[in-house]
Amino acid sequence: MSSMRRRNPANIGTVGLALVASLCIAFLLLPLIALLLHVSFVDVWKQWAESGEQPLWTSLWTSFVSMAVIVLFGTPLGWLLARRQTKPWKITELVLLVPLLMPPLVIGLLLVYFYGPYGPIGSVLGHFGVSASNSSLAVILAQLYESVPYYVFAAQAAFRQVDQRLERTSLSLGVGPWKTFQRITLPLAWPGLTVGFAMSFARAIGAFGAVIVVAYHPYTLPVSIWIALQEQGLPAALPLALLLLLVGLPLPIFVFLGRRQARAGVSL
Amino acid sequence: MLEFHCKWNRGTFHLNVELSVPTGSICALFGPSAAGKTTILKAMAGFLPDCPDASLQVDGEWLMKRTAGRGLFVPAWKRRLMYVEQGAQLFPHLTVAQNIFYGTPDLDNSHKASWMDPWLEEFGLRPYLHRLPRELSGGLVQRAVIARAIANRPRVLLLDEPFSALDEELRRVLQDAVLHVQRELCCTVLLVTHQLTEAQRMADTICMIVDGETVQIGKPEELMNEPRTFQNAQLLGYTHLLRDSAGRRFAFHPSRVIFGEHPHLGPVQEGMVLGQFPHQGERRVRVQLADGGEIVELSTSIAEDIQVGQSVRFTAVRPPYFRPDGLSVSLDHEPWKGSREASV
Repeated sequence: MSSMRRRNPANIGTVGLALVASLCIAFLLLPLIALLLHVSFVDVWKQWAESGEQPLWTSLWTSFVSMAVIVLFGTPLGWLLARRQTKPWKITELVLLVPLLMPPLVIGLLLVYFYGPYGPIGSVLGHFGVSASNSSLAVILAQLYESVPYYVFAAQAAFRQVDQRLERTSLSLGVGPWKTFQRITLPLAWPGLTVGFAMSFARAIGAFGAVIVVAYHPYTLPVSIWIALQEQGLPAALPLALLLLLVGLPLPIFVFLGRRQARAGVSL
Repeated sequence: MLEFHCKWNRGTFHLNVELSVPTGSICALFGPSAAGKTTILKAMAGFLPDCPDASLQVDGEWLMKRTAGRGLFVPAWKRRLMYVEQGAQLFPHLTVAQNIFYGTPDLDNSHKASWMDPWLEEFGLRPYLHRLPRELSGGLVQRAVIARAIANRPRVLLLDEPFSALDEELRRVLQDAVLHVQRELCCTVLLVTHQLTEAQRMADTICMIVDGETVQIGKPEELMNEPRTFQNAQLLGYTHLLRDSAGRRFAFHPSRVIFGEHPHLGPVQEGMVLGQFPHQGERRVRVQLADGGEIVELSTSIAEDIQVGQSVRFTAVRPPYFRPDGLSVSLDHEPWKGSREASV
């Protein structure tokens, strides 16, 4: 695609736009570059070994569980939202906007109220010896609330852009609905689904506001960054922040690159 | 035999159609846009599960038999009818070969290749089998769409304006291809079109549909000779309702005329030539009638020598007559009436 694009002779408009774009990029990227330049890598390693390992694993495994739940339930939900135009589904869509628009801190408070030891669900769980506060379950719940909408909305958009005529053609050719979903709908929605997954994953692993309210323990990476900042200051927090970036960013970036490749290769 | 009926009222949309198409023939559903033609095909293909009152029987097998929303409804993927939607595309992520043999997974490769071979050859698709659809031209894509539609030998082909996006030349090539396919496979074809020429060229019977109702069914020839109402006649290209010397109304068609006075063929009109312009291979002449001053267009051969300002006489050949309320009426005593029946 990019090879086909011809470079236009620069005019004032393009120069102006390029200027604006580079300002935006500088604004977004300069802090990150400054971080990379100023951190001493010996300190980074020490800090990671000292206080990074346990939070890293907690963060990783909880967010993978969250993502599994999100994909399992979010994919069919996204499909339904894309294909059903009736009122109940429109209302569902609005309801999904709520966690997206609510401040994470408020989500955390609601979760404590609802799932906490004295809340309606928490007390029931307590009978079974399960705690939904200050536990891994609590972390997962908080991550779910923060990241579900990102995946579901991306899946909805991905399914909606699949031409339904192609699905009908497949059915008409004698291929049943489930096979049609596997052979037509899913492959065509795949790029959009992976982007949704990556965004959602970045939200889940970076979830802080809701997590710190319901699950101060076990420390996740974002929470331990906050603690390091509070107790030891910026020099201790920065290496952990770098660690979070290293585990949180690669997946979205790879997905983005892969998508560009896929677009160049296959899709419309 | 394919027998279909559907009755559906939903808001401003009405559909009330009964159709029966002999096996192995082509029936064109012809009518203006938004007449409900596409809805009929959708209902047949099984993509209209909401329709409460519909039935479909193909060669004695019931595929749909519903009254008041209950009864038999065979899902689309079990009907063995192939529905080619308007603007149908290939699956963009599969190669041309994977597209064409998409619905035939049970056959092993050698078998499916051998029986489709002549068709792939005829459609000129052989060099492109391993390409992706986006590398193909529009015409090749349409051919591949037809090839895919016949690859698992459907007993009925439902084609919804399959050639409307193509240029004249290519359209004719594909029409011929479909006719050839239809003769070879002996399948029943329902063809939705709003182009009269396409319907006349392809169909054994034409079913005219207006506002969700069947207004007339017949062979292409019959429809042209005997449109039942003037409204139908207009859909078939008749442009004006004129009066003959006795004051009776007949429908005038620009191409169904002959210059000169030929009273044994039909009513004679007189007028003055206002202008002329080329129309496809012929020439069209704009004539203001002496009687009533109406301006009509009529086709002539380019061999005819006609000047602007000249006064001409022409004969409308065997026109359909209509009562004042627009219904057709037969005039038994007219001399050309007998000659037509003799010729049929």
